[in-house]
Amino acid sequence: MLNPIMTSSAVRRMRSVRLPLVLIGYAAFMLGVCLVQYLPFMQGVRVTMLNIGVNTYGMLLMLQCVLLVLIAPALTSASIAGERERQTLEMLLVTRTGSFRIAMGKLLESMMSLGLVVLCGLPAMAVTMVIGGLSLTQILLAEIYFLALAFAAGAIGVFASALCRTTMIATIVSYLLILLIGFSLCLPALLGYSQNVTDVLYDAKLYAALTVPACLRLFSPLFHFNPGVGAFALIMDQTNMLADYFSWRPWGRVLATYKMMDKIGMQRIVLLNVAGLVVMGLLFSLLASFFVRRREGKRKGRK
Amino acid sequence: MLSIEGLTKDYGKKRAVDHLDLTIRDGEIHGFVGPNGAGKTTTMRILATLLTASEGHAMMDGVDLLKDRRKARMMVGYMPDFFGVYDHLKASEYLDFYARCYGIGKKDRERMISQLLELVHLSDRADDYVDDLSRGMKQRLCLAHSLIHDPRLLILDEPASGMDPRARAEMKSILRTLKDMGKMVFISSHILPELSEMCDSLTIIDHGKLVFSGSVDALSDQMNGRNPLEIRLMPGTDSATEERLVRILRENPLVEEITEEMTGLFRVRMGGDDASLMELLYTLVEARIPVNDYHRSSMNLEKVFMEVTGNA
Repeated sequence: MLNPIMTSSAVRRMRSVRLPLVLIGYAAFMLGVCLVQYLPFMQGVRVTMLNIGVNTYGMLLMLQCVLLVLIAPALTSASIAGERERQTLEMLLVTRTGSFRIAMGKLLESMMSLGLVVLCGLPAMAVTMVIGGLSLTQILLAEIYFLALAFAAGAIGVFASALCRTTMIATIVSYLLILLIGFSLCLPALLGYSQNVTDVLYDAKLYAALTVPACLRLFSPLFHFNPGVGAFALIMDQTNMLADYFSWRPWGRVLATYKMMDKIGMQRIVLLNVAGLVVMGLLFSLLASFFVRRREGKRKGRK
Repeated sequence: MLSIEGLTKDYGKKRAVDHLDLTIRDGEIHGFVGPNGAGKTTTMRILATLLTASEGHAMMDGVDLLKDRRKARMMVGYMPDFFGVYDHLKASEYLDFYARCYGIGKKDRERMISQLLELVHLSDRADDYVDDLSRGMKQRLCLAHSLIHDPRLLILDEPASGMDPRARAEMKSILRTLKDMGKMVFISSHILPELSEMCDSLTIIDHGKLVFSGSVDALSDQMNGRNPLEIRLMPGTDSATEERLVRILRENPLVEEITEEMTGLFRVRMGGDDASLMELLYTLVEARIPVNDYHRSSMNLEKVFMEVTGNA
């Protein structure tokens, strides 16, 4: 039997006005960005079609990553806190459905909505493919990454929702958590590499001699959970747009990290990041299921 | 039969429920009464598996509801005092959702939903959105939801609160039907006269401690035995006759206190059983006291509640 929490919540969400508005807004925004990118070409500025396609695609990748991280908590933070506010959670908890199933049902339902959001970005991405410079495989890889990103961000939203009493607080907590995770998982790049490693990476000969496994050993495993690293690797893999910024020597440890990523292979890093985001999503789902019942169990009789 | 023994719940140093014992028989409506903060909702939430007990047992059909929570959930239906409903969901879908949460198969679900909607008189509103139903209808729908898995014990926390008299009467009639179906109904309410009409037995708690548990009749008998005797004389009775009445009453060793409420109406606090009351009446008639009305004042559940919980 399908998870009843998932199916019922999905039915209710699809009957509401909010999700269609989000979807229309998202698709319109993406197509608007495409239009703005193509304007110089349409006004007769001499640029190659290939550049326009790849640049627009890169821009869309960045925007989708940011938008998904912003939309996912907004869509998920009401999932359990909303039940609490509506005073329907108690009635769910006395059924045979366990807390894990409740949390997973809520997460899967949110994933369905977020999946629709990701799908709504597809037409804009497809436009760039028609112009050229990109393959279907690249777009598919990007979609897989977006889904993993949405899953992790959504799970953080569900966790915050299980932890907090109100939707408002849950939304704030989930954004703070995402910021905290993004920042703390960047720390290895800022603090983690010794001067020796940085020197090796700056020396062209030594760098050339470095093998991929050796680089992977140096590369902090925490990066695989950092959505920012995954998004960066995806953009670099598919458009190489940001290479000029990150090849700047005075950046030190950041440059070292970039060089290691380059050596490992950006696509491999994207795939590792997808796995990391899925693991992070599952961990937050487990934590969410733990807090669903624990929080209710602490409530006293009110009269 | 549900048998609760030594049920205790501590919140840190504060004891919310203190060694509560009570029994509910099959097909019995059991009222649960107590002032605010007495521990009623806590007790009900423990039985509904929403809270864990610090101590005690609640045995039903060989299952300890406090230990085997998974089995308990299938045996207990719970309707909380405050509850919400889902928007964008029809009444039949609402019940279907909870039925699936209890793991009930499709065929049984359809049958149960139609039976329950009929039971709570909402068959004609099956396709209406839950949000559009009146409060009374939502209460009945919530009651139907708590019955969706056919539980033996139904726990209703203040089910009639906020209902108009008509909706309350409907709720009462549904509860009687459930009683006839052999279900145990454990119901708390602050509308005490209603409980006295509806319940076969009741439990009164105060500060988490059991004050009384037994049948409504036993409680009434126990309390009525301490009720004052009211003697009303014929209108126009002279003061000399009234003085004679007071003298006769004072001579009776069972009389503790005499108060003249108004002219011709005496309230007498006295012990003894019905025979001693009859004996006193003979004496008054023999002494040609013109007694117009002679009875022990009855105590409704509201008064009993105030008396027992010490707030009279």
